[in-house]
Amino acid sequence: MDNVIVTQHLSKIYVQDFLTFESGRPRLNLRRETKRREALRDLNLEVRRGEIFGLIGPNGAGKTTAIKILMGIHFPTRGSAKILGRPLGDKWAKAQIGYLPENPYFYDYLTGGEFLDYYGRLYGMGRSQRRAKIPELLERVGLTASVSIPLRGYSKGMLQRIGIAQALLNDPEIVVLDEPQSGLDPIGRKEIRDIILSLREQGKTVFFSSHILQDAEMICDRVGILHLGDLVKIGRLEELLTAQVSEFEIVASGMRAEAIAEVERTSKRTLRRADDVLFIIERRGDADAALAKISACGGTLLSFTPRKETLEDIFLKQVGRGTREVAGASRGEVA
Amino acid sequence: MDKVFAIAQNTFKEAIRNRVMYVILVFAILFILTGVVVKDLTIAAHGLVIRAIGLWAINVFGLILALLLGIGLVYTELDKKTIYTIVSKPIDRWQFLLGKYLGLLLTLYLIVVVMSAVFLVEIHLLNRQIQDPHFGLAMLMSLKAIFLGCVELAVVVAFALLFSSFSSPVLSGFMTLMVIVAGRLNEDIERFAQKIIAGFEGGGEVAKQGFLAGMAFLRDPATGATIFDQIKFLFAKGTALVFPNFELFNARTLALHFDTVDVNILKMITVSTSDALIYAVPYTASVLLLAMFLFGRRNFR
Ligand SMILES: Nc1ncnc2c1ncn2[C@@H]1O[C@H](COP(=O)(O)OP(=O)(O)O)[C@@H](O)[C@H]1O
Ligand SMILES: [Mg+2]
Repeated sequence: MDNVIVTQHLSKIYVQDFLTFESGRPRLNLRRETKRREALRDLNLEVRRGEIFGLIGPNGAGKTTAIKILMGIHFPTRGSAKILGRPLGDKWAKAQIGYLPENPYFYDYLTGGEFLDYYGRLYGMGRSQRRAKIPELLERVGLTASVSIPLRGYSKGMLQRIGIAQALLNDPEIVVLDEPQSGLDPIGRKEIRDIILSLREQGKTVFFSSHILQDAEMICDRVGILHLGDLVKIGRLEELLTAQVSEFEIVASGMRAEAIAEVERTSKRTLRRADDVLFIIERRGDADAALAKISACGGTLLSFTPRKETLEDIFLKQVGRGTREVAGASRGEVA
Repeated sequence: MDKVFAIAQNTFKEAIRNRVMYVILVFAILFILTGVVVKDLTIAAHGLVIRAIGLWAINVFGLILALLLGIGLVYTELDKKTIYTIVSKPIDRWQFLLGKYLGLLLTLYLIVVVMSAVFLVEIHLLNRQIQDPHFGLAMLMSLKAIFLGCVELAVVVAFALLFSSFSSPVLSGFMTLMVIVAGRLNEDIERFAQKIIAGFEGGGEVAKQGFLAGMAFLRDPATGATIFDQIKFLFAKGTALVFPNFELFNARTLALHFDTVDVNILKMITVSTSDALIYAVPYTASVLLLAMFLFGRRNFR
């Protein structure tokens, strides 16, 4: 299997000059040291042909930074990357890529059809090629009826979908999506998920970022976990997940009180409802012992479920508990 | 090249779907037409007043629109982040800038054509009443003035694009305005610089020469020039050098007075179209190249 994206020691430090522009207004930073923010540190990863690769991490982890560097929007401070064997910024490689930015905004005075036609021309597609491709894409993302509505009349979900259509105009080899599902309702998220899965069926490579773990868990072949600019884990989702069964759920009924008390000692958590008891047990041996105990005391086993580790468990282990949304603030700012 | 045209076309679409532009255009047309009313209030020749107001309005409203549309030209794409999807497409950054430039210029030229059409119809209708013997020539001279105004717009838009590609709309608007003012006053500033030199013993000849000769002259202690004189000269001559000279594009005076002034004055107010083009083309190209150079290396926020 060949690698379509390879990054080597990719790093980005944002430097705030003494004069910056924030939403159009000039602002002086008169602090003696210029502010530096290390957004990405030594990122080494490969994305393989035909896979769905998820770059996951909390807000501020550096996902967008990594994607912007790959797309030629930012230049890396250090390191390099190759896309389809070509260096960053190569026009041939760009012609094989479709990209959907985070929270996309498009020209709101254009209709959906005009917008796709414009972008088709930027890909160098001829008129007949565009005529054939655009209706097909609109159909695929379910916007055929909205083709002549200006984009300012589009909802968030519709914008996201026309954004995906825009990224598929050139029938790209690689599709790069930055937080494609954020801000969407469950139906919108499922629609995006289905589109991503259908891309893999067509043999495309999908590289996407997300801070929503469930989204990634449902569709990724491989994931990389990014935290405060560092890639803390990378691998196949099954390998990361099936590494161990994290706990066993046992539900039984009709147990005598002293038997319950005995099992409870090895149990992480115990819940009682009427005659039923739920034990959550971490070790295999303890679970076996609990099963034996249940049958010995005349109880009935209702269910036995080995619970695998979820992506969230792995993620929290890497990132530290309770820091899922706000972790970005603590580090990253260095003098 | 189709990619450049695609960007130009989209820039054009953005402008013509902007309501503010129509308000200004309607205003400009009303302004051109006020000549019909004002002409009876003056003792000057009617044709002259109408031409003066019309040509002035076409020029000034063209510049106002260039300023208004030009300053947000690149900034909007950065601010709304549409640049992200553009840059990731297989196009070069310079192609993007060139497309934006051509698109805005195309828009402005279309507006100038609309304003000129109103103007020409107006003077034509009026001429049915007053029967000016020089009417044909007046028409030609006016067209030349409008054409050179278009050349001026090409230079102004290049500057607007340059500033807009690295600063905010307010700042780039201010800087573009500076260029317009410095461009209009260019010859006065140049004269001022020459006067500084001519004020010293033996400076009469040097005054006509270039920047370096002037500086060398002032730094010679024998002339008795102070550091203050040197700085004054540096600024004045430097400004005249760096900023464009828009007087080269001003054929409006000629269009108004060609039939009433004597030959010597006529020579002074005549501007040559080829001179204007020879000056404008490389000048515009350099400004655009500088914009492309700066834009090509920047990170987009
Ligand atoms: N243009 C920028 N200038 C300065 N700092 C930035 C810029 N863009 C992002 N950052 C900082 O870099 C870090 C990573 O941001 P980002 O890549 O957007 O993270 P993510 O996409 O994972 O949420 C954050 O701390 C953010 O504040
Ligand atoms: Mg992001």
